[in-house]
Parts: sequence; C-alpha cells; structure tokens
Amino acid sequence: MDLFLQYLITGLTVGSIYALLAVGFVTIYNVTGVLNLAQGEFAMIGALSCVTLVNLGIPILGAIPLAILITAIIGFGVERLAIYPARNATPIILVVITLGVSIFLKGMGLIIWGSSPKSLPPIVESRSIQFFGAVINSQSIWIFILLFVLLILLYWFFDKTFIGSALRASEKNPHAASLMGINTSTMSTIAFTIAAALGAIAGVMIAPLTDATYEMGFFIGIKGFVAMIFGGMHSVPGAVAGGLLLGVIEAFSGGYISTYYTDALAFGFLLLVLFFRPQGLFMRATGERV
Amino acid sequence: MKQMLKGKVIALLSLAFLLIMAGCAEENVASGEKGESSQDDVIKMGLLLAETGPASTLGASQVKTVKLLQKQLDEAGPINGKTIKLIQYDYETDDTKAVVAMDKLLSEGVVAINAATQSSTTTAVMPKAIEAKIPFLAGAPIDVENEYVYSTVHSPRVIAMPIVDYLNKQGIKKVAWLNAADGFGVTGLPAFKELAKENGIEIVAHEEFDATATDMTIQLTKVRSKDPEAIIVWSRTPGAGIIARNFKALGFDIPMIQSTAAANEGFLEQVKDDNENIFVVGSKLSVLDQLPDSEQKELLKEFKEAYEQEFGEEPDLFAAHVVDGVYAFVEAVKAGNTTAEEIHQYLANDLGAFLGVTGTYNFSESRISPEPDGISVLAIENNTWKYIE
Repeated sequence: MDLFLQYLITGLTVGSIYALLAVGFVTIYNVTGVLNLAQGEFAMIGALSCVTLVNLGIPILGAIPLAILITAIIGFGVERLAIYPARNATPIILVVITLGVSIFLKGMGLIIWGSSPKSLPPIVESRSIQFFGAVINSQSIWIFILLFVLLILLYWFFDKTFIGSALRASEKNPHAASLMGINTSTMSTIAFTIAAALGAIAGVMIAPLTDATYEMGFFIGIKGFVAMIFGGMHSVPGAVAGGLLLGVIEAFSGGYISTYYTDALAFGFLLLVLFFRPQGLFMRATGERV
Repeated sequence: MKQMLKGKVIALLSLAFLLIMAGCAEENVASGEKGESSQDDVIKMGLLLAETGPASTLGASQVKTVKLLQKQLDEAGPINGKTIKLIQYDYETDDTKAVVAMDKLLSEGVVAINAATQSSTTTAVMPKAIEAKIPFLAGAPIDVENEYVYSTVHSPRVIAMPIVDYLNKQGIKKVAWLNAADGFGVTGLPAFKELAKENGIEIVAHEEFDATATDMTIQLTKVRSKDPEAIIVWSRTPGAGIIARNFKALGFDIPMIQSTAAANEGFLEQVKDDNENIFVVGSKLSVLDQLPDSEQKELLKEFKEAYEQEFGEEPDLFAAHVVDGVYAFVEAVKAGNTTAEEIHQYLANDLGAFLGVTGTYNFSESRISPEPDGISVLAIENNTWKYIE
C-alpha cells in the first residue's frame, strides 16, 4: 500500500512539472496555431537566470520575478526576430523556426552557464513530508498550488478579458479577427511573451527539485508536449490533467512493470490516444470543418 | 534611402561574418617554436580535443593542459636534439570534423596521436591511426582492443575496483545497482557484475533511469523493497545528483556509491548540505592535500601547482588524461625513439610501469586501462571531497 501511495505521489509530482510546461505550449498554440518547440528552453532560461541572480546576492523572492521578466523579454525578442518576419508562412515553417530557436537558446545556455547542473534553493526551505509511509517533497506542494492558481488566472485571462478573447480569436480565424480590428501579429507577440513567462515560472518552480542545466529543456519540453496532446491541444485544464496523467502513467509503469520501459509505455499510451481519441482525452470532438 | 541603408547593413554584416570565418580557420598550433629548428629535428604529436561545442566543458581543461605542456617542453629544450611539437586541432564536438582533422594531422607527419575528449570521437578517429600504424593514445573510454591503441582512461572494471574494495572493507554483500540508460550508464554493470561475482557480492536489484529525468523516486522505492546494504549508481549529472537527493529524501540509511562521472563540482553543488552517506569514485587529484606522502602525491602536486599557476584554476581528471598521454610519448622520445613504429614498440614493450597523473600505466600488461591507484572512493565532508582509507 505505501508503495502504491509513493508511486502515486511521485507520479503526481513529476506530472505537475509536465503540466506546467504543457500550459505554456497550449497558450502559444491557442493564439498562433504554432507549436513552440522552444518552450522547454524558456524553462531552462528562467531557471538558470534565477540561479545566476540568486548567486549575485538577490533574495530568491526578488530573483524569481526578475528571472521571469528576463525570460519574457527573451520570448518577446524571439517572436519579433524569428517569428514575426515569417508571419505569413505556414504553421509548419513556424514550428521549424521554433525548433531552430530551441537549438539556438540551448547553445547559448551552454555558453553562458556551462554544462554542470546548478541548484536553486526553494522559496520556503523545508524537509520532505512523510505521509502514510510515502515521502512528499514540499516543493511539489508549491507546484500544485501554483498550477491551480495558473489555471484560474489563465481561465480568467482568456475567457473574461478583452485581450484574452482577442488572443483566442486570432487563432480561431485570423482573417476574421483582423477584420474585427484585432492586430493578429501583436497578439502573436503577446502570446510568445506570456508563454515565455509561463515557461520561466515552470523553470524556477522545478529547479529546486531537478536542478537546472542547459539541456533540461528538451526532456521536459517533450513531456509537456505529450501532456498537451493528451489534453487535446487547445485546453489549459486538459493539458494540466494530461500532464498529471502522464506522470502517473510513468510512475506506475516504472513501479509495477519495469523502469526500462517507462518511456516506451508512456509513448505507447500516447499512440493509443492519437488512434482512438485524436481530439484529446478530455475534449469532445467538435466536428469543425475547414 | 531605406533600401540603401539595408544594403549597407547587409554588406557590413557579411564583412563581419567573413572576418569571423577567417578567424575560425586559423589553425591552433600550441607551440612556442620560433622557426629556428628545421623540419628534421621536430617530432610531432597530434591531439584532437573539443575546444568548442557542447563537450568543451570537458575539453577546455585539456586544451589548457596542452598549452601548459608545450610551454614546459619548450622551456626544457630539445630532447636528444629533437624538439617536441604538440599539434592540437579543435574538432568542435563534431565527430565528422574530427575525422577530417585526423587526416590533416596524419598528413603533417605526426608520429603519435592523443584523442579525443569524447568516446564517440575516439572511436571514430581511431581506425585511421591503426591503418597508418601510428600509436594511438585513447583519451576517452572505448570498447576496442588493438595493437596500436593505448588507453589513458580507466576502464569500467578499473573504476569498479575501488567500489568493490570499499564494499569488502565494510562487509557489504548485497547491493542494488542503478544506472542511467545512456552510453556511459550501461557500461558499468557488466564490469561490476564480474567483480562482484569474484568477491561474493550479490546484486539484488537493478533499475535504470534517464540521466536527464526529473525524479528517480520510483527506482529507489523499488530497490528499497529488496533490502540492499548499499546502492551503486552509474550516471552522469544531473541524474547523478537528482538520484542522490531523492535517496536522501526517502531517508535511506545505507551508503550510496557513485561512479567517476559524478566526481565533479556540479555534483557537489547538487548534493550541497545534504550529503552524508554519499560516496563517489574520484581522482586523488581532488583530495591531494589529504593524501599520505608518496611519489604519486609529488607527481600530482607538481602538475596541479603548475596548472594552477598558469590558469588560476584546478585541473580535473580530463586534464590528467592528456598529461599522461603526452608524457608517455615524451618518455618514448627521451629513450631515443623518433618514428611511429619505434614509439609504438617502446610503449608496448619497454616503457614498463609508468606513473601518470591518472594512475600507474603498464602498457605491456594492459592497454585498456591504467591501474586503479589514481582513483579512490571519496566521501563528502563540508561540501568538499574527503579522502577515506
């Protein structure tokens, strides 16, 4: 029983990391229709710049917002320099551009921070918690709280504010949106900036658990992407649920079947989802025709 | 007007680009020779190192070492009337470029090769040396045995030796094995299995993880149910540090022993302030001051101090491999050997036991690894390495 509980808790902890990444993916996808493959790198930059700021003597509570700001500015720059000039290209070209951006940012990360892992102190220093024989890391509780807050904030932003509606309209029908006076390219910039900030938040939250390295973005980026597909590409709550589900699948398949096949099983499950519910596990098929 | 400006900007940018390219093309000859020695009096050794690219974090100290060694060789003057010239090319962490650079080295008439920073590169360039019958001092772990190949790095078996010694001393008979599922991670177990069998140590559990994964609690939880008396981990960072941290969080009270891949500052930083019961197989170079006096200590100290004086930082094990490769070559030249074949014969038959910074070499007995006397199981105390005997 305590094994089961430990697997579940570990699964949720890991899943919450994937969920944080997936939220950033969905945000950009919902606005621009582009998969941002550099999302993991935003997390890397957020985490590593936070480490640098902390090492400069800035208290962690000041370093985190600064790191998020820095990453948001980089997200803004990426959109202006790499996406905006190609704004009339097809989404697939834009996706490939984000792949290039991802490799570029990873390379810059290596040059700036080197290859050795850096650790970041948690916001609140505390020991891990014992819970019916299972161990919970206190940082993962913070991640859960943050996920919940982000869910509410993003729901409010996209559904209740004007700019949020404008952002969503830009993806649904860019042509109609621009006819309605929405500047779709500005919306794309906003989306990238927000997504970079979300990535940075993910980075600084998970760094106390996983440490920060220049190469951290790829692994969590892929997993965040899978979580997004589980959730049906468009839905923020779906992506969060997808992330948690992926984490739990990995934990249980590792725990009860074999740790050699963790990834094979998780991605096998992804294939099943794509075969049988391509619209995502938590979405109703909308039957849109284009 | 705008068009013109754009044209100018493009022209300027291309000019800058050309200049940068020109800078890159410059070859890197780490030599202080001033052209006074004629071609016949120069003996060349070729080195391929990752000065740039992702592996530069490992290669940087090696390149510095080459510069230091060339300086020392120049200061010492010609040996038997011959000047030694170390020719080093940066392969930019790219195996293809390494193979091209290898051809260049061979065409320049090098009589020995020391390469490379990474295993894949070493494997890629080695056949060319074998074909040309030039002694090849392998700078990274490889899985090939050949007449012309001499390894300057520890084989997995040799790295496992101090671990088995430690287990024997502690009377530990049941261990759990965890490794990263990558090139380095999977090499450890076969070597350890053999040694464990010889020493009556039972491997009660074996799990794998991804070296860049975010959590290894599952693997550790599974391992715990098998009641091991020690946990052995074979992984690079960051995985090495994360598993150590998960291990502490789960409250294990048995030792965890990690491989040489964790013997670096990055790992120390990862396990900062919570590192009791965590051990790492590391170079004696990092615990120099704690070592009892010996010939080896003197040798390590000499190199470390020279390096620190030149570059203001501590050398690492990667630097040590280059030193040993170059010194084995210098020894051969000192004994009057000048051609590739002579040097090869000397290394293979006459060099005998040769004390290097990595450990003692005895190429006539084993070409695949130095002996384990340069490494040891280290503990961590006050967030720094602690030598235990």
